[in-house]
Amino acid sequence: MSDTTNNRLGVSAPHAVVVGDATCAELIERCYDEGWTDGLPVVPPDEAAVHGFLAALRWDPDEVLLFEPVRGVSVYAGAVAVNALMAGCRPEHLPVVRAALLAMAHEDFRVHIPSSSTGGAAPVVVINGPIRHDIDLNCGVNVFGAGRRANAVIGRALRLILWNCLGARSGELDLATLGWFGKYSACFGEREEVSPWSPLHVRRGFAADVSTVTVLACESPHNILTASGVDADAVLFTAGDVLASLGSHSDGQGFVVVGREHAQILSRAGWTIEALQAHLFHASRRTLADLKRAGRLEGAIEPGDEVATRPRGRTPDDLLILVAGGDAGASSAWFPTWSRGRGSVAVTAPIDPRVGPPVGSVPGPGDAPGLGDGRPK
Amino acid sequence: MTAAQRAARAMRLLPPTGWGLTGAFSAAPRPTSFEGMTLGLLANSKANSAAILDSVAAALARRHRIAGVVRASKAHPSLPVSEDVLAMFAQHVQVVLTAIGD
Repeated sequence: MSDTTNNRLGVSAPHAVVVGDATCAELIERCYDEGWTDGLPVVPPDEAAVHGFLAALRWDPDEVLLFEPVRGVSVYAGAVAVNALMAGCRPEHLPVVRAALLAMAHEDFRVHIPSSSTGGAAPVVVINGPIRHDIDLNCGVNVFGAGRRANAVIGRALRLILWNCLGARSGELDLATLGWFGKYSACFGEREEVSPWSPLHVRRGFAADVSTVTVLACESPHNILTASGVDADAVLFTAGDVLASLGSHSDGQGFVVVGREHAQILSRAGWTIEALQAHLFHASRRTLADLKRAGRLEGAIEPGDEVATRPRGRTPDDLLILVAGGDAGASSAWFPTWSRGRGSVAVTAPIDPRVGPPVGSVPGPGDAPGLGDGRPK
Repeated sequence: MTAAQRAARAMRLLPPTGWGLTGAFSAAPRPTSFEGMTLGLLANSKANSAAILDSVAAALARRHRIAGVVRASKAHPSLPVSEDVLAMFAQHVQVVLTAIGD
């Protein structure tokens, strides 16, 4: 049963679905029946609550926050409020969701690719700046795990927006071969307070007291685990080995999330972040012969291929290093972009849009040189 | 329970889908025949997309009297088709086939 659109929600709003005299559980089931969920239950999108969100935020529901040019799809602020409500957001989470969408709307992010590719990437959201405290965001213990509302609902709001507004539904637009669990939600904060280095958003051009989101479409994290009490060489040797993994070797970027213990070991040994990037960039190199054996480069192995190498990414700055996680444990993690090339790159957006526009990265082809460069084989 | 009471207890759910879609696109009329038409083949630029399109065009040519085929490719699978290609198709072809490959 439908009703006419309430024009307080703008001209772009669809008609409300009126459900009479239903229990909470029945309303949740109705959302499943409508195909509105990613598989988990959602908060039923009560129209009055959406009005409340929009009024609290002073959002224009007809504002387009993201336009996806390949399929010509617009994401409206009103729809963002609905999906965020369904994900469990409170109003204070929505500016973060909005900034993440503005980052994903940046041309360098090419949102169509990670939304549809067999590679199965998820938008991984890293939050920097004071807002981490304002919204009680987890930056510490179990930072990629369960337990904190802000982490869970911000990432999930983005998933529901991709699902419901961009049509990135499994088996329809989203043709991920495997996908990963971050496609429900992948959002965390940098633990700036214990980092020996400048935080990610500062290195990407923002002031330390500005709050930002950085979004990169990533595979599931690869563990960088060492024994406790090892020296910096052991940490670097292990991290380099993970970054050099053939299964994810490409021309793209990645987050290197350094745990506190590893950060302390490296810092005490005098490693600056620039030196760390340069070292890991070098350590990520594989010979052209290995890349050809793995089929990541085409052609027969030629003289010199056992010596010539190619790194992960294009420059050391493609290794986006940050610190997060609990105090105990010798773990770090590597979140590589998923593609064989550089189809989507990191974009950082300030949460307050008055600060300035989102900042992208150097984009590139979806396939690495030698894998076709987009040309038929 | 009265109708007024039932209405008061009704929940209005606002769909998360379908925002702003009305009038966004309208499909061109579907052709009923390929007779005498020039086909445009738009590959998405991934490997094998052109091969798929060529085989479909060849199969159509065996069944219909097609005037010709014009081929084009997107610059990148993740980018929209360029305005130049669209203008070229608009000028020279009556039907466009597209395909993805990998």
